[in-house]
Amino acid sequence: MRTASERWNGVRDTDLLAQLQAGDEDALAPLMARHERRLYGIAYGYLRNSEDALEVVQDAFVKLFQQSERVDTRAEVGAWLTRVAINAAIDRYRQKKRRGTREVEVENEDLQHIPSRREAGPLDNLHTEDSRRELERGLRALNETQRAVVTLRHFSELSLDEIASTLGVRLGTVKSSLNRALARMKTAMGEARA
Amino acid sequence: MNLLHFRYRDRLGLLAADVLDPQETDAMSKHVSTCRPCQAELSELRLVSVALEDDAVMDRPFPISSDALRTRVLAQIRSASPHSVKQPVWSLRPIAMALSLIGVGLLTGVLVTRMSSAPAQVEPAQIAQASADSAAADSAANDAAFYERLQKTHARANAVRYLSEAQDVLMQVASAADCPNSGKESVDVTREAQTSRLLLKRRAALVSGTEDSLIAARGVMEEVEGVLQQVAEFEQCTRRTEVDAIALRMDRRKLLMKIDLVTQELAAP
Repeated sequence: MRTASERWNGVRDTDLLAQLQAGDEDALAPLMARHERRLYGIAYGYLRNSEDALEVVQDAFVKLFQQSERVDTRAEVGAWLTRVAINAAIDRYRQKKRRGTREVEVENEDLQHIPSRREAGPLDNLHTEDSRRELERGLRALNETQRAVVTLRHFSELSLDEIASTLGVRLGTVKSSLNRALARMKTAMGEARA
Repeated sequence: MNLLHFRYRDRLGLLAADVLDPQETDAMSKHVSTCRPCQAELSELRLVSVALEDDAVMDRPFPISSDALRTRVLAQIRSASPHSVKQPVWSLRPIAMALSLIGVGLLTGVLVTRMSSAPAQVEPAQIAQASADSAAADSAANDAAFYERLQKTHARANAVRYLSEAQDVLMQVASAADCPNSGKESVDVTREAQTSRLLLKRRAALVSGTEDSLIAARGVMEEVEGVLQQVAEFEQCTRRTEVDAIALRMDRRKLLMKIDLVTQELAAP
């Protein structure tokens, strides 16, 4: 007897999407399992807040369910979800800014409880914490497009062409945004160190 | 320094991010190897790029389990689906129907009065008076029936909305995220507790004076109220075992399923 997850083993995303379009709600679970962590990484990379990022992921899957008929079955579901997630993250970021919320809320948990990639001593940890604060400051210096490009490049490892397609902008815009983003971050991070 | 220097200098970020094609990378690298200001700039930009890469591969745990996320997504889908009654069911349709009935009543009254009074050669003033009396009587009867029906429909819609929102809260409690700094010991139920308190406050106003329309739902509403009271008393960070106990109790009583059945019953025309 096959378990629910085994049922979808080896089934391609596009086939799962077709199932979803045919009204099979069960097809949503394997799509979520395949993409939730990647989408969370992108949303977190942009918003720097775990609760907001989680809500973006949640909304993306709700949208996939509600608008599955609008998704082209020949297209990549992952790319569609990425586009939805990054746009939702941009909207949420914009709303927060409009409401006057501090642009980036670095959560204490993120600074204190995320294990470093290597074993580190207390001094190393202090250094790591400072580095993270510098990085947050650097990210805060970016405008929405620059932030999106940086996020998609580093948190989703998309090519520049894919980023252009995801954001619906020209390749030249992506290149100039990435170039300027790094320059702005360099300046802001330098000021944070000074 | 030549013109190429300025062109390359303005693209050092792309070199640092390693997104240039091999040909351009070679050309720029050759220039940078002979340009000290470019070397310094590139080295700083590379530090930024490395910081971003390090941050991206940081092991950030997904804040809730996949099952919990699925529960949340399904709850949101459910609450937004056309079957759920987020919109008041009564809206304008019954009002339009009632107005039509009143119109038909008035017209019928006028016609009947005219037909029955014609052979007796009644004065026009008497006809008008009779028509007006008949229309007023019909209208009053229709008004009373209409308002009674409207009130019942409204009460059922309110109860459905209350139960649907309560169901969302109860599902969300079962999948609440971990509390910061608590490991897996406790969960953050701030929002759920707050919503429960608001729902309990609204409950009395929602259903007062309309109990006879909601007899079928009374038992489930009392059960829901009991659970909401427990959730409303939760602290921001509540021990996971307490939340699990409530989830288990709801599961045993099949409370969420009962809410589904009752809301369908109430929402039925």
